[in-house]
Amino acid sequence: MSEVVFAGVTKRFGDVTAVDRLDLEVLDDEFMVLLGPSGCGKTTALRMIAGLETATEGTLRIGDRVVNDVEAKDRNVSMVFQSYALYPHMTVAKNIESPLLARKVRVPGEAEPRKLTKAERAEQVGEAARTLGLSELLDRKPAALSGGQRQRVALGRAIVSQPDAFLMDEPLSNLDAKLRAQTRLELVALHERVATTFLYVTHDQVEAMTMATRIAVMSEGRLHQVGPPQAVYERPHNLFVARFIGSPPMNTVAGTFVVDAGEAFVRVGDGRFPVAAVGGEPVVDGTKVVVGVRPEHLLLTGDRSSSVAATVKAVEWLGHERHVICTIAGPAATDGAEDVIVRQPSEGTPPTVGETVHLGAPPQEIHLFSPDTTERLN
Amino acid sequence: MTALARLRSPDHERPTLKDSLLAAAFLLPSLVIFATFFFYPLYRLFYLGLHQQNTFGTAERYVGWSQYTEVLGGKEFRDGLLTSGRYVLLTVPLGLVLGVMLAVSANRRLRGIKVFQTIFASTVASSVAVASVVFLTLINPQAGYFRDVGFISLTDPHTALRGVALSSVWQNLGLTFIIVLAGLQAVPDEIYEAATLDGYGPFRRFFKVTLPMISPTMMFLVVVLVVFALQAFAQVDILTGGGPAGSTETLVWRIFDNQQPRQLGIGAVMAIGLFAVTLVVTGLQFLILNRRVHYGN
Repeated sequence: MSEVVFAGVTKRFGDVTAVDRLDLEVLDDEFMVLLGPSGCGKTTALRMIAGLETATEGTLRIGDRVVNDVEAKDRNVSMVFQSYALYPHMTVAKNIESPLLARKVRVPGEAEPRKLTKAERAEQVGEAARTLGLSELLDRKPAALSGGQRQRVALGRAIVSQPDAFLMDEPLSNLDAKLRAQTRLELVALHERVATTFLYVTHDQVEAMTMATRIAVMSEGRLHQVGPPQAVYERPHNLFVARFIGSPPMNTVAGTFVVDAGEAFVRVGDGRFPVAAVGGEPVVDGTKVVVGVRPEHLLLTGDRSSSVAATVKAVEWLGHERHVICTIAGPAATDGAEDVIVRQPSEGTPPTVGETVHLGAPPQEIHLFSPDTTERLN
Repeated sequence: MTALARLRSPDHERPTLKDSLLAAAFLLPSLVIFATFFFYPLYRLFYLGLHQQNTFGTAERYVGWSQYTEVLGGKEFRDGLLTSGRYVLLTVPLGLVLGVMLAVSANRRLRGIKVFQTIFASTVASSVAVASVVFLTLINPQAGYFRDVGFISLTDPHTALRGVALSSVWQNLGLTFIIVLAGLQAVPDEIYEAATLDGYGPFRRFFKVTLPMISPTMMFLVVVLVVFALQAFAQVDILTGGGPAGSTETLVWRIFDNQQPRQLGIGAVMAIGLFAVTLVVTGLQFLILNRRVHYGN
C-alpha cells in the first residue's frame, strides 16, 4: 500500500559495484518485476529495500518515509526468500504467526499500529491459511510439506503482517515447471486480493512477462528499461534488452542503413530489408547499424528484391512450431552471432538443410540499434 | 541388480550366497576390531567379575553373582557413582554454556576472526594430561598462581572436585566450541534474515531460532560430554590422586584403584556397573532430549 522508490541508489561491495545509480519508482499497488541475469544487482536492490543491505549512496523510500536508516523490522515490508527460509522447528501455524509476535501491525479503525493479542494473531493466521489453502496443514512442520506448500507458507508469513510492500526473491525457482506455472497465476490473484505493492526479483522472463504490471530490466548493476511487458518486448531500448527478452531471442545482425529512391532499407549480407521511415539524424544513408528482428517476424519469402539470402543450417521441430536456423550469405553479414532463427508454424513442408532461402520481414518489425552505444535508433 | 537394490526391491528377492559372502567380507574388518578391542574385553570383565584372584593373580576361584550384588550394592560403588554424578553436573552444563557463548561470539564475519576461532579451539590439541599439568601449576596448593582462590582449592575436600572439574571444562571447551561453531555455520543465513524481518531481537533470535536450529548438535554434545565426565580419570589422578579425603574419587578412579590381583574382580564389577550406568544415562538422554531436538529436512 505504498510506493517504493530508489533514487540514485548505489551499492558497492569493496571494489565491486553491485547496483549503479539506480533510479526506479515502484508505484503503489504495482507488481514490479526486477528482471536480469544472475549477478545483475536485482537481488541486492531488493535486499536494500528490505533492510538486509545498506545503500552506499542514494535514497531509499517506502511511502513517504526515507528508510535508509530505518531498521529492517521497522520498515513494514515482508520478504519471501528463494529458499523460503521457513523455521524448520516450528509448525506451519507458528511460522505464519512469527512476524506478528514481534512486529506492530496496523489494525483497522485504530490510529497507531500495535502488537496483536493472542486471539487476534490466531485469527490472522487462520485467515492467511484460508487464503492460501493451508488450513489443513497448520500443525505440520515444514519438513512434512511439499515444495509448493512450503512456498505458500512463506507467502502466508509474508501477508499476515499486512506489509506496505512484498519483496520476493526468485520465489518460484525451487518449484518444478508445472507448479511454477500454477503458482504464477496464484501470485497474480494474490496481488489483486491484497492490493499491495509487489517487488519481485527473477531471472526468468516468463515470470516477468506473465505477472508484472511493469518490468525493470537490469544488467551489471544498471537499469536498462522500465515498462509494461508488452512495451519492453515490442520496443526494447537497447541491444541488451532486445537480446535478453524473448525466447528464442531476437536475431541481431550487422547492417547498413541505406536510402534507395526515397525508400529506406537496411542492407544485410548481400540483401536488404525494407524499414519503416526513420526520423533522420543520427541515422542517415550509410549509417552502420545493428538490425534486430524477432524470430516470429522473419519469414521465408519468394521476394528476391527486398530480402536477405541465407542457407538453412538446421530445422528444429517443437510440435507447436518450428525453428529454422539459417546462416546469412554474404561478406561480414553478421554481428558475432552467425545464425538467425526463423520461427514458423509447424504445419507445411519444412525447408531442407542446405537449401538457400530468402528472408523477409515486415518493415515496422525491424529494430535498429547503434553498434557503438547499443541504444535503439528507430 | 546389485545386492543393495535386491534388498530394497519390493518383492524382497533373497540375497544370493555371493551377496552374503560379499557382505560378510565388508563387515569383517570392523568385526575384527570390535571383537578384539570391545567384545573380548567385555567378556573378560564379566568373567573377572564372577571370580576372585589370589594375591599374586596366579589362581582364581569362582564366586558367582554374589560379587556383583555385593559390589554394586556397596558403599564404595555408590560413593564413586555419586562423585561421578557430581562431576557430570559440575562439568557438562558449564562447559556447554561457555562453549556456546564462545562459538556465538566467534561466529561472525569479522576481519581476523579466524585467529580467535583458532585460539578458542586450541584446547582440543592438548591432551588431558597436559591440561591437567597446566591446571596443576595454576592451582597448585603451594606454588600455583591461583592457590588462594578458595572455591577451587584442591586441598579442601569440599572444593577439590570443582578444581578438577574446571580443568575438564577448560580442556573440553575447544571441542565444544568447534562443534557448536560448525552447527551455527550450518544454519542458513536466510533463516536469520527472515527472523530479522520478522522483528526478532538478538535474544529472541538466539532462543527461538539459533538454539532450536543447533539442537541436534547440542544433543550430541550433551551425550558426549556426559560420557567424557563419567570416564574422567587422568585429571583426577594427576590433580588430586582421588584426595583429599577421597573427595575426588570418581567411579573410574576407584576402578583403577582396584587393580591389585585380589581386587581385580571388584574392579571388573564396577567397570560393568559404569558401563551399565553410561548406557542407561545415554538412553535416557535420547528418550528425553530427542523430543526437543529438531533434525532438519
